[in-house]
Parts: sequence; C-alpha cells; structure tokens
Amino acid sequence: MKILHTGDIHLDSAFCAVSSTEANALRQHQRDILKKIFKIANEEACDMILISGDLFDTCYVTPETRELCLSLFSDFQKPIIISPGNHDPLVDGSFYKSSLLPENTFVFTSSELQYFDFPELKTTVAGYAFTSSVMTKSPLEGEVAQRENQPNLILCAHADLDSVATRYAPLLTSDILRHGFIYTALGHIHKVPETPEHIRYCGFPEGRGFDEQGDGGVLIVSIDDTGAVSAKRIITSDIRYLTEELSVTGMSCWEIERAVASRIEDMSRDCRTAIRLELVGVLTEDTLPDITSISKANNEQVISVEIINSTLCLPSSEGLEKDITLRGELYRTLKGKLMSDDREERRTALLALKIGLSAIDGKDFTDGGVL
Amino acid sequence: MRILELNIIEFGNIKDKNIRLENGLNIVFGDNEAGKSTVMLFIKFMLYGIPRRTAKSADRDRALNWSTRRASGNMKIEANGKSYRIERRADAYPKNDYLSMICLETGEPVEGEPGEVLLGIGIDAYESSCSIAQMKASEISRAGAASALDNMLVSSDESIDVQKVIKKLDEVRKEYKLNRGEGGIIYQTNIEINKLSEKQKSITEAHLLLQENTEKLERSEKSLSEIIASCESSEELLRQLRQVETLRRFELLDKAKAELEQTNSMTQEFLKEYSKQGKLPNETDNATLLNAYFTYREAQKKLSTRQSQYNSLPSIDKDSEQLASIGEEIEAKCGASTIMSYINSQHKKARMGRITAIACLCLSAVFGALSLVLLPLAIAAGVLVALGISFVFVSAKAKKKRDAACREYGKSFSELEAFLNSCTEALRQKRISSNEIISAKARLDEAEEIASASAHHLVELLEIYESVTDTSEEGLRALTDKHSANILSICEKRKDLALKKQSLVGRISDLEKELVGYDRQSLMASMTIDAEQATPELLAKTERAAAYYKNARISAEEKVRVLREAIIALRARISTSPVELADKICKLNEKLERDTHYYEALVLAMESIEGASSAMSGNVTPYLSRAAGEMMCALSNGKHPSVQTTKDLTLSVDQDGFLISADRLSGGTKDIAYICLRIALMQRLFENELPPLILDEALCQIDDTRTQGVLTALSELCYNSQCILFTCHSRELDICQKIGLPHNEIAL
Ligand SMILES: [Mn+2]
Repeated sequence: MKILHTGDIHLDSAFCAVSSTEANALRQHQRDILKKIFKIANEEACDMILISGDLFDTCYVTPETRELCLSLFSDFQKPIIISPGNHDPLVDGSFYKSSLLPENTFVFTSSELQYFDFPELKTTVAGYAFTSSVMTKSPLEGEVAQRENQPNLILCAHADLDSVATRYAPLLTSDILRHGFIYTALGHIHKVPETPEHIRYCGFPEGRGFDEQGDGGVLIVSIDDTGAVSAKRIITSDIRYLTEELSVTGMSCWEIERAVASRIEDMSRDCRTAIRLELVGVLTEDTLPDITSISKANNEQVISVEIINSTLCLPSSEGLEKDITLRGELYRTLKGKLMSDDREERRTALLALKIGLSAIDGKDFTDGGVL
Repeated sequence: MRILELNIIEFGNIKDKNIRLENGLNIVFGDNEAGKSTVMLFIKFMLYGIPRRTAKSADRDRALNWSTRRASGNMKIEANGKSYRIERRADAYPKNDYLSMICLETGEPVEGEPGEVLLGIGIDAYESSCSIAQMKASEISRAGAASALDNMLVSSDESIDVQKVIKKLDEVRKEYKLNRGEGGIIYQTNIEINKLSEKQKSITEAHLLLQENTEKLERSEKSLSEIIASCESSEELLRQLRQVETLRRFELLDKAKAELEQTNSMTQEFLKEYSKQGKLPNETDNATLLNAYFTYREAQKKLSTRQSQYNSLPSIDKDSEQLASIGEEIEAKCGASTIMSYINSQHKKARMGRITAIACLCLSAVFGALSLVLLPLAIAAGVLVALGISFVFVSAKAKKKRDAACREYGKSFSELEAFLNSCTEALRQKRISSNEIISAKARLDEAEEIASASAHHLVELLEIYESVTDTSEEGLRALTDKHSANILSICEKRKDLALKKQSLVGRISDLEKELVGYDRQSLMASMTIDAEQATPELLAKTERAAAYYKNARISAEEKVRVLREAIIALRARISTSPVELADKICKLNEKLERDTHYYEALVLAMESIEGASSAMSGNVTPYLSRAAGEMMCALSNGKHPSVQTTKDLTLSVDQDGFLISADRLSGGTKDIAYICLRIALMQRLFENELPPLILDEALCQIDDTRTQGVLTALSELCYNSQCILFTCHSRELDICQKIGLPHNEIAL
C-alpha cells in the first residue's frame, strides 16, 4: 500500500514581505503546489492521502482555495484523511464542516481519538482534530482500543512530539508505540526533525519565507504486507528560501562582491531560490560593496537576494580596540556582547555599536540611517 | 613611526612634489593656499585611504587633482624598526582605489590599511590624537572651544559631548517608547496590530458564519423549491378537484332545471284536471264548506233543543183552570184586593162597633150604678145604653155585609183571602204559561227556518262537487268530510308543487350565481384527472396537503429570508479579506520586531555610552588632567601648575592660585591646554613608539615666550620620533633659530 503523507501546507497564508498583488500571486502559487501534490499522488498511484493538519493557514479559506480543494479531493477518488491542525481547527463554518466535502474525504471531528476503517485496504486510520487553536491533552493517553480483524493501524495527527508542555497536542513516542501504529503521519513541526522511519513529520511542501528553509516536499510511504514501512521524500517546492552566512573578514570590496556572487550562484544552483545572505566577520565600512547592486543579481534562478550586514562594519575594530576616546571605550564596553554566542545578542550589540558610534560622531543614527 | 619621504605625484593642487622629513621637529612653512592642508590630507590618505564621497565629507573631491581628477603618490615610512613604501592611486570611484604597501627590507607586500597596521589605530583615533589642527577660534565660539576642551577631557575627543550624545539618543528612544504610559512608535504599532487582529478575528468569524449560513441557505433554498413544487402540484390537484366539483354543480343545475320543468308540467296537468271540473277548490272553499257544515250542524242542534224546550213546557190542570176563571172574575171586579179591602173594612167596622157597644154598655153600667148616687148620671147611663145598643146594630150590619161577600165565593172570611190570592195566582200562572208556549213556539219556528236554510246552503255547496241525494245529517256529514278532505288534498298537492317549484328556482338561481364566470366547456377541456377519482376524501386530503404545503412554504420562505438577511449583514461586516489583513498584521509585526530590535540596540547604546563615559571619567580623565597639568606647568614656566576637572567633568586651569574654568581662559592658554591634552592623549595611546605628531597652525595664538616653551617641549618629546608643524608664519622658524633649536625646515 502506498500513502502520500503531506501537511503544513498553510494555504492562504499571509505574506508580509511583498506587496498585496505579489502576496496574492504567492497564494496562487501555494494552490499550484497543492495541485502538484495531488498530481504526485496520482503518478505514484497512492492508495490514500494523509493530510496531517494545517492544510490552511487560518479557519478562513478563500473561495479560490475552497473550490480547488473540493475539486482536487473529489477527482482523487481514493480516500483522503485529514486531521485538522492548530491553524485550521475544526470550528463551525470551517471548510471541514462544509457539506460539500466529497465522500472520499474523511475529516477527524473530535479531539478524542477516532478511527476510519478502510477494509479494502486492510487499514484503519486513527486521528483527531484540533477543535480550537490549542490542545493541551494528548488524545493517545489512556486505554488502547482493540480493533477487530487487526488491520494496519495508522495515525494521522497534528502534534508536537515528545514536548510535554506544548499547547499543540503533546504526543509521546511511548504512547504511539503502545497503540501499535505501524506508521505515524505527523504535522506541525516544519523543520523536519530526526525521527524513526515509522514516525515522520512531512515538513512543508514549499517554504513561505526564510523561517521555512530549504526544499519542501511530501512523503511517499510504502507499507508492505509484513507491515514494514519505508518512506521517501519527493520534492514539491518550486522555490525555496535559503539563509546562509558568509564570512568576509579581511576581504576587499571586490573580493566581497565576488564571494557574494559565487555564493549566490551556489545557493541557487538546483532550484529557484530566495536568498538571504548574512555577511559576518570584520569589515571596514569602506570595503563594503554596494549591496543594492548585488541584490539585483541577474540570475533567473534567484528570486531575491537579501544581504544582511552582520559584519563588524567598523572603521577599524583593531583601531577601536586601542581607541582611547569614548568610541574605543564604547567598543570595549560592548565587546563582550559583540562576541557573544547568542546571535540575537550579537546583532543587538552590533546595532548598538553602530548607533553609538554614529551618535558620537554626530551622524544619523536613526533606524534608516543605521540599518 | 616616522615619515621619511612624501612623494606627491598628483594630489589636490599639488603635482610632482617630493618632501623629505627628518626625526624631531619639522617645520613646514608656506603661505596660505600653498598646500599645507593638502600635504596633511595626503598623509592621511596614504595611511587610511580617502573615504567615499558622502554628504558630510568632501575629502575625496579635495584629494583628487583638479585637472586630472586623479590622486596618486607614495610615502616612505619607518616603523617598528622596518621601513615601508606605501603607494596609492585613486580616482572618483572608490572601487578603483589602489593600494600597495611593501616592506622595503623583505620586499614583501603587507596586507591591510597602513594606518591600522602600522599605527594600530583607526582613522578617528588618528584624527583625535596624532593630528592636531588649530583650534579655529573663528569657527568655534569661545564657549565651544571650552567645551571642546571639556569633551577632550571626558571623552578623549574634543568633538564628543557625551551628555549631548546621550540626550540625542534619548530623544530618539522616546520616539519609539515613552518611559511611562502610552506613546511612541512601538506602542502605536502594538495598538495597530491589536486593532487589526481584532478586526481580522471578527471578519474571520463573519466569514465562518457566512460560510455556515450560505450552506444552510443552499439547503433551505433546495427544500423550499421542493416545497414549492409540492405546493404547486397539490394546488393544481386541488384546482382540478374543485373543477370537478364545479362541473358537478353544472350537472346539478341541469338536473334542477329538468325537475323544474317537470314540476311545471305537473302543475299544468293538475290545473288542467281541475279546470275540467270548472273550479279548482282552494282552502277558502274548504273553509266555506266547513263553515256551512258547521252552521248546518249548529242549526240542527239548536232546532232539536228548541223542539225539546217546546215539548217540555207544562199543561194547566182543571182546578187551576177553575181558579183561573174565578180569578178572571175577580179581575173583572177590580181585583181581589179591592174585594178584600171592602170585606176587611166591613170586618173592621163590625169589630169596632162591637168594641164600642161593649164599651158603651159597660159605661152605662158604671153610670147606672153611679146614678144611684147621682140621678143625673142615670140619664147618661141611659144615653150610653142607647148608644151601646145602636153600635150593636151597626156592628151586626157590618158583619152581615162581610159575611154576604164571603158567601159569594163559598168561603169563610178567614179562607177567603187565601182563596182569592190563589185564584189570582192561578190566573197569573195561566197567563205566564201561555206566553211561554207562544214564545217557545216562535223560537222553534225560527230554528226550523235557520236549520232548513243552512241545510240548503250546505247542500248547495256540496252540490258543487256532486249531487246530493242523501240530505240526512249523516249523509251531509259524510259528504262534507269527503269533500273537505278532497279539497285539502288538492290544496296540499298544489302547495307541494308550488314549494317544489320555489325551491327548484331558488336552487337554480343559487347554482347559476355560483357558476357565474365558469365556462363549462373550457373547464371540461382543461380537466386532466378522471372525475371518478375526485372523491370527497381525496379532496379533503388534497386540501389538507395544500394547506400544509402552504404553511410549510411560508415558514421555509421565512427561513430563507432570514438567512439571506443574515448573509447580507455578514457580508457588510466583511470589509476586507482576512488574508489581506493577515498580510498587514504580518508586515506590522515585522516592523515591530525591527523597531524593537532598534529600540533595544538604542537603549544598549545609551547604557554602553554612559558606562563607557563613567569608566573614562574614573580612569582616563584623572590621567589626562594629571599629564596635561604637568605639561602645562612646564610649558608655562609654572604659571599654570595644574589642570583639574570638576565634578561635572568640566576642565579648569590653575592660574595664579585660582581655578579658571576653560570658557574663561584666554585663547592662547586654551590652545596650550589643548595641545597639552592632545599630547597627553597621544602618550597614553602610543606607549612604545610615538607616531608623527602633526600640528596645523596650532601655535599662532600663543605668545612668543610660551611658543618657545612649546617648541622646546615638542622638540624634546619628539626627539626619537617626529613632529611636523605646519605654519604660515616665520615666527616659529625665527624662535627656533634664536634659541638654536634643531629643526628641519621645509618650504612649500
Ligand atoms: Mn503548520
């Protein structure tokens, strides 16, 4: 039996980094990815689709998305099992309560464990629904219900695995094992963590921003007659978001330019990529190249380039070290934080140093002047 | 570090100029515009490069040769026991900047900015330490100059006023977040985010409700259309059934009309039948007949009564007849009373005569007796006897007359009166009886007449219907009964017919009224159901169904209406797409994050500057004031034994035993204090090897005596290093020559 396991698609997401027209285009693109997922399900001859929550970004679903989902679902014909997540909980008026859902769509409706039986596949899919954006009790707690005919038991769930204090369904691996699920299709954690082969997070199908790094995909799960599970990931994303650091310590202006360009080239090699490059290291202000010209790199694979200057972009940090004026003293005061292991602290300290130096020199230190 | 040689190829207004510099004091002398500051800029350029063009800095423009728009040159220096050659080229574009630094001993290139590598300080530190420009009294006000000294003392840089910096930072910080209460960009952004989130929540709710209601509406509309179909089909059936009813009424009308016709013809036949007999009896006729009969019967009854009355009258017996005849006689003799009054008067007269006679005789006896006594009385007695006797005679006569009268009727006086009365009575009785008989007879006759007349009348009436043969009472009665019944039955029948007609006419008119507007043909034509199916049960059932569906339709329509209204209201609530709002919120959150980051950095910057400043005031400031004070004392030949800082970190100079704050010092003293502070700073900065100390017109405000001291001190200070003094006056050269101070003179 073959299963397509997806989730965390977050259709109709908000996009804040772009204009509203572009945001609408991105939302349309999300729908295209959904189409792609169903196409993969058909090509791979999957017997069912498991959607482990967060199909939609909010309870509100745009008419376009609604229509697309209904038509894709009904065209697929084979079972589609959905476990509503914290972003798209099962509430009155939500898509999942629509009477228009086709017959092959099975949506869990309770925060208790429910079972859908598919005798022709000798499979039972267990699951539950978020009925609000929060779920603090694990539905797997308590007695394990005995199923007749001992079918292959699969769990499809939106959950925060082994995270006891979470507000998003604290499932425990021990509970999953106790219930005897041969495969557990999880959603919620977007950055796929290391898990056993039969307990998998599917990850997002395509990143929506720099907080969803890298290629997105779906899992094709094969379960053979002995109940052995193997899962492979198929890349579904057309675009990806990548953030990388580039150390530019000691580089001259054109060396930086070259390094940035080649890094952009590398990052955008196999996929259209939105790039965020964080320049780190120590740099003098004069050697920093014109960032805006780099951002507009003429490469079709590159969607956008965002260069974050996190260098110690100073006239001379060595000079500052020895500077006996207030500048040097300021630098020395902030030095501990500037060298901190905490990236945030480092960022703040760097900005504080820039602000402080600009203010000391009577330069513009406002938001626009420094950042 | 020492500069050995400057080789200016093209720079500012200078072309192809070579300047050699020595250890110790170098005095670069030239008029204004001769290029002194160009040379200083060239040194800075060689050490640190020229910055890109910015709004604040015109250094690059000043550095480029006016005609070629290029800058190039090299500089030979000695540092840490090695000599280096620095070569630079530049034009208007920073990316074309060229730099090479080669260690002349090894011939190897050295990486990095020469100033940073060799001096170990950045450009800012360089400018605030090695390079001492004139305190431009024309540009900086006296107070400004004083605060520059204060600044130098506190921040080791004349241009840094810590309090001002912090104040400026705090002003910007307040724009982001006020200390207390509400306000600031961050607060506003938060408010806006909350507002938008609320709105998004409400709109999302509205959307969900809308979705729910829309689906409900779809279902309700579907069920409504089903109800409407049922409603219409039941109404259609009902219409058909009512049509059947109407058609049935048409049939009833036909039937009624036929019946009416029949009734009319029956009436006519009936009339015809009786018109044969000449007369159609009516109830009056019956009443007349019955009246006549009753009159007849009454007359008969009365007749028989009269007959029996007459027959029962008594007859007069013989005695009464006799007595009556006597009575008649008496009546003839003026009646019994007259007779009796005569007899009675006679009787009285007899009685009175007797009584009187007795009385007279008695009296005469008395008198007679008395006459013996009195003879005369005997005469009276005699007269009385005579009178007595006469009355006896009178009485006897009256008695005789009485008895005579009595004898006439053969009765005694005592019986006579009764007898006479009985005779009179008998006569009266006789007379009464005969009157009665007469009147009874008359009545009888009358009754006979009436009876015969009534009988005649009755017979006459009966004869209308049939000839009367038996005129006996029985016969008449039977005939009367027969015909009366007959008449009555005729009347009844007639009445029945009339009633029937009336009811038929009424019914017809009712039906016709009901059927006005109905066209039987078209009704028949539009019939789709079998009339036989149209049972009353079906009709009742259909009526119930129609009523049910009508109600159901009303409530379903109401439901649909309510849902539609709710949907309109919800649509009105949805002013924008929640997704777009989410975009906005997302953007605001990003801004908030950026602002917060900036704010935190700003706060950190302020805290750090304050920290740095206080660290310096505890550490650098005392050192500076001590070192500068010593130098000041030496330079002024003890005139200013110390430089001190007050608690508020302003600089004061000890002069004639008084502490004079910097803003009240003379220009020259200030310049000396300035140079002392700068040199103190430099000494602190470069503990091992002093860099070249560059002074630009730094001594021009200082009097000759003190200039001599300063020059001597500089010469000593830079004995192992270098001091380059730029001046446009020959005074410094003169003083050096006068006191024999070794120096290298360079004319531009
Ligand atoms: Mn998710």
